[in-house]
Amino acid sequence: MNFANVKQRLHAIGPPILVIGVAIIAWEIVVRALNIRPIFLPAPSFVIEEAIGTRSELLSETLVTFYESVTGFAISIVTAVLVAVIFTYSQFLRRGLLPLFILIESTPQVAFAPLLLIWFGYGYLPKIIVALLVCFFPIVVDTTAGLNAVEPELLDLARILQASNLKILLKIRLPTSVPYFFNGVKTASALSVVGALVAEFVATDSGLGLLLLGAQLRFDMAMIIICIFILGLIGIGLYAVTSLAERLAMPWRRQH
Amino acid sequence: MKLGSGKQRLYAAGPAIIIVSVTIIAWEMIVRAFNIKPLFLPPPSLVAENAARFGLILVPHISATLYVTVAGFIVGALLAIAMAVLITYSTLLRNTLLPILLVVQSVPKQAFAPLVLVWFGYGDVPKIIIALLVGFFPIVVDTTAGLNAVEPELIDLARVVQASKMKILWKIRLPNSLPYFFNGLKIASALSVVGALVAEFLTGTYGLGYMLLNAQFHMNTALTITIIFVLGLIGIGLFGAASLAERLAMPWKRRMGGGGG
Repeated sequence: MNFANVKQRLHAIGPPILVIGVAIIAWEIVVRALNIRPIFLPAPSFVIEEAIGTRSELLSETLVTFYESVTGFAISIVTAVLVAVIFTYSQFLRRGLLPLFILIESTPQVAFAPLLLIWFGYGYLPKIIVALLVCFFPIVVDTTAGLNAVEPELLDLARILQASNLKILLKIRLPTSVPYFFNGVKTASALSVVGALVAEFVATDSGLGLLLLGAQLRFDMAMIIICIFILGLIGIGLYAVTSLAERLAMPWRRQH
Repeated sequence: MKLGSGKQRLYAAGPAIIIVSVTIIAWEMIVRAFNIKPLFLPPPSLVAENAARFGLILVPHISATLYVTVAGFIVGALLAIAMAVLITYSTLLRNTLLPILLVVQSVPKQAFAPLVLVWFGYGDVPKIIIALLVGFFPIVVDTTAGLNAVEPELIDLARVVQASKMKILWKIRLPNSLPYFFNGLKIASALSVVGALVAEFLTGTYGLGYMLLNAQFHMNTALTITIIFVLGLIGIGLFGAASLAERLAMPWKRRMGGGGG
């Protein structure tokens, strides 16, 4: 907040920004000096020109991918938390499903994309479901761990004071689970873009995935680089929003 | 201990086994009762039959995907360790590269697949590079954290007894980084399958990614389900191998019952 803090931050982000700046300038100079063809590696200026030239197409496809990622991400958060809460109250379901969920977490959920396309046809829905699938498992596994990380003495105490199950959930379990929950959500934030993108690769009907595939077939390197850049921004943006939410939800952690 | 823990494990796995079997039986019954077309959802019996028929055809594709995944995973892990050591010993790299690596971690690396394919063609190398890219970042970030999570007093002590930098690395930093490294490795194990799969989606010549698209194109839903199942097994197998390596590398952790987050 204060001046010293800002200075410290500037000191931390200065070197990487410098490196990136130098890399971009060197890239431009090398491409021009060696006369590298844009089909192999276009100069940054060329990439920017193409981005400006295709901006309306870029914007509409970016919105599609963004919409799919964010929707899948948001639905996965709600469902994963619900399932995690159910797990806390049903030992049978937790014992039965949690090991399966942990196993499924290490499988490539994007492999479901072709199956979902057979089921739901083209359009947004199958892509949202893939994004949801990819995000769901890390959140549910971490949140369940958090809801159960409560010290047993605390639960005993609450029971002695005759706290209801709902009160134990709201006042003890949920607050305890917050750091675990955000851990899962942060993992999922980057994955949601992967889910939407891969589903678009498979469906090839809209979004940045379609633009990327088309650019690959045309050897349009500038467009490939633009799409990577936009997808990166979406991934970083979602992660940043999640981290911000984490800070707001756990103000006591900011001090560290 | 052997028998007791075996029984305990069976007890713990009981609900999961019940849920899986009930699901499969219900799936079979519902498909038959409602006469759902196999194109939409084939019953498990048909999936098994289909898997038996296509099994032999799938084998070379399975080995192709397995090769790309494992090669990318191992090369990625080795590069990540080397990079983590470099970052630990070079202040310049730590100040410049580490923040960039942290940010790039939330970039979808699968988006680089078309770029890598245009540059390196359609053979195994570009696919391995894509699998490598996906697995590299979590390992390098976690391992760097581990190499630097050493108590400063320990390093001071080592310096007092005039231990060389190499010795500090081997005897203090690397052992200390093991839990962090394996954490990243386990995350990467699942991701590298995704990398190989996406590369195969885009090259479309062979491998399970190609076969998956092929099955979708021919509306062979049973084969789609079989391939998803095989890919799941590969992911779980890699994760299992990484976990086994973790147990072997850190025998002291076994006693503590694998707790922690």
